[in-house]
Amino acid sequence: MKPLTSRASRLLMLSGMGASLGGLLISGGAIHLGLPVMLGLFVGTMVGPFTGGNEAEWARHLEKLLKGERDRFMGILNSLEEGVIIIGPDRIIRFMNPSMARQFGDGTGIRCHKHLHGMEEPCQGFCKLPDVVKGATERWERRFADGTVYEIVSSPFADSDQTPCMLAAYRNVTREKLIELELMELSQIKSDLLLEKTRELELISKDVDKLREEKRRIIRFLSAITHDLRAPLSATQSCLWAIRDGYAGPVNDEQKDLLQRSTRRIDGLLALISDLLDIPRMEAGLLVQEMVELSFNDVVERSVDSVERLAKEKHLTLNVDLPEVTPVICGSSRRLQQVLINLLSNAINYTEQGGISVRVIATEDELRVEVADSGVGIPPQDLPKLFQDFFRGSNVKSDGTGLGLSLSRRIVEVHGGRMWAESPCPETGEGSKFTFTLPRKTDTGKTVGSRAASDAVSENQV
Amino acid sequence: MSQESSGRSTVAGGKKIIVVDDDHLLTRTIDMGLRNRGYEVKVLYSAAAAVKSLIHDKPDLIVLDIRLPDCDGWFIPELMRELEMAQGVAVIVMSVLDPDRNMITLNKPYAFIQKPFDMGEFIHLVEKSLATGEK
Repeated sequence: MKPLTSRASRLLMLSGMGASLGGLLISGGAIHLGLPVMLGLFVGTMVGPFTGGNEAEWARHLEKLLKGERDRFMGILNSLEEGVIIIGPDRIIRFMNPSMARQFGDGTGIRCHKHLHGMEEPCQGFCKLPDVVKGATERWERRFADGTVYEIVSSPFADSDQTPCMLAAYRNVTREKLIELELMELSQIKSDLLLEKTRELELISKDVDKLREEKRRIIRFLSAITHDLRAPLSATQSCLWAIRDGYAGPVNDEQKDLLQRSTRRIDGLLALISDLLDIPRMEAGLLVQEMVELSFNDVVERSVDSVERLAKEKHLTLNVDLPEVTPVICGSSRRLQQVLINLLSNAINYTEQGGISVRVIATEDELRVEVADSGVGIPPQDLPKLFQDFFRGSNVKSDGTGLGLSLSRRIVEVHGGRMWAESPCPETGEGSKFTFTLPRKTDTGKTVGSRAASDAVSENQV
Repeated sequence: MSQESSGRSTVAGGKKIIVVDDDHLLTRTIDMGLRNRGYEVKVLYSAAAAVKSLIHDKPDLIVLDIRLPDCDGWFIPELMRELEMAQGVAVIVMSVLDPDRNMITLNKPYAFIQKPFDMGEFIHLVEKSLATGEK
C-alpha cells in the first residue's frame, strides 16, 4: 500500500501545485497558458498507458511519468517570458524562474525587499505578501527605481512543504506604459493646441466685433454729419431754384443770372461735402457698400443727363456711343455714376471748344469706358500725379478739391477694374482721354449676361 | 407759409397735402410751390403733429422728411402700415441722405426724392402720386 499512498500523495501534491499555478495564470490573464493546458497535463498523467504488471513496475512507471511531467512543467516555467517568483511568509525568495532571475538576478534564499528593491526593511504600505498568504489574489503595478514598470499578479500558493507562500508573476509593461504616456502627452498637446486656437479665435472674433462696432460708429457719424451739412444747403438750393423758376413771382434776366450763379456755388459746396465725406468712407472700406446687377447703359445715360446742361451752356458737343445691347455688370450704380459724372464734368470744365465723347466697348471679359475731350490736355509732368488725393492740375484754374479723380479710381478698383489717363488723346492728338475698365465676372465667376436690368435703388445711407 | 389751409378753390381740385419737415426754409419753399399750383397745404414740423393731422385732416398726400425732431420720419409710414391707418394717403419721403433701400422696400412710399430738388420735378411727382391715388 505504501507505493500507492506515496503515488496518491505525489499526485495530490502535483495537482495542488498545478491548480494553484493554473489559477494564477488565469487570474493573471497575462500569461497565455490556461487551465485547459494544465488540466491536460494532469489528465495525461493519471490515464497514462500502463498495462498491468507488479507494484514495483507500477511505481517505476509512475515515477517515469512524474519525471516526464516535472520536466515538461519546468520547461514551461523556464521558457515563460514572464518572471515567476515564489516568496515564503518570512519574505525569503524560495524560487525564481530563469526569466525572473535574468531580470532581477538570482535571489533564491534572499529576502524579497532586499533583493528586489534594495531595502533592508519590508516595503511599507504596498507589500501584498501578508494579504496574499492569507488567501487574497492581488493584481497591481509597480514602478522600480530604474523606471521599469511591472504588472504583477500575486496569488496564494502552498509550497511542497505546505507552507502558505506567495506566487507572483511579473510582466514587464514599461514599453506599454511609455506608449500610454506618450499618447497621453500627445492628447494633452492636442488639447492644449485646441485650447490655444480657441483662445485665438475668441480674440479674433472680439476684434471683428470691435471692427464692426467701429464701422457702425463711422456710419452713424457720417450719416449725421452728412445730414447736418447738406440739409441747410439743400433747403437753400431748393428755395433758390424755385425762385429762379418763377414760383415766387416773375424773375428778370439779371435776377435769374444771379440766382443761377448762387445755385452753382451751392452745387460746388454740396459736391465738396460729398467728396470730403467720401475720404473717411473710403478709409473705412465703406465707399461701395452694395453691389447689384445693373444695366450699364442706364448708368451712362443718367450720368450724361446730369451733365448735359453744363455742356450745353458751354456749347460743347456730347457724343455717347453705347453697345446696342446693354451690358449687365455687378456694381454700385450710384458710385459708378459718380465716376462718370466726375470724368464728364472734368472734361467739360477743361474744354472750351469742340466736345466730349463717351464710348463703352463691351468684350466678353470686361467693359471699357472711354471719356475723351478736345480740351487743354494734361501737362506730361502732371500725368503721374493725376490720381493722388488733393492733386490739382498745374495748367488750369477751376473749382474743385482734387479728390474727384482719386475717388473715382478707388471706386473703379473696388469694382475690380483699372483707370488711367492719356494726354493728348491718342485718337485725336489733342485734349485728353480717361479710360476705365470693369470686369464682367461676378464674384462667383459667373459672367453677367447682357440683359436689360432696371437699376436697384442705390445703397443705404452711407 | 401756413399752418391752416386756405380753402380756396383751385386747379388742383382742393387736394389736401401735408408737408412735414422741421426746415422752415424748405417747407416755406414747398408751400409756395404747391399753393402756386392750387393745392391746399398744411405745414407741420413734427411727427406727432403729422400723426394728428393724418387722423383729423384726412389729407390726400403726406410729404415728409426722414429726420424729424421728435422721431425718425419712417415712423409715420410704419404706423400707417401697421395700424392700417390713413389708408389711401400717398406718401412721398424726402431726405438729403441717399435712399435707404430696406426702409423703402418695407414701407413702400409712393416715391423717394433726394434734396435738393427742383420745384418742377417735385410738383410733377406730387401730381403723379395724387393721380395714382384717384384710380
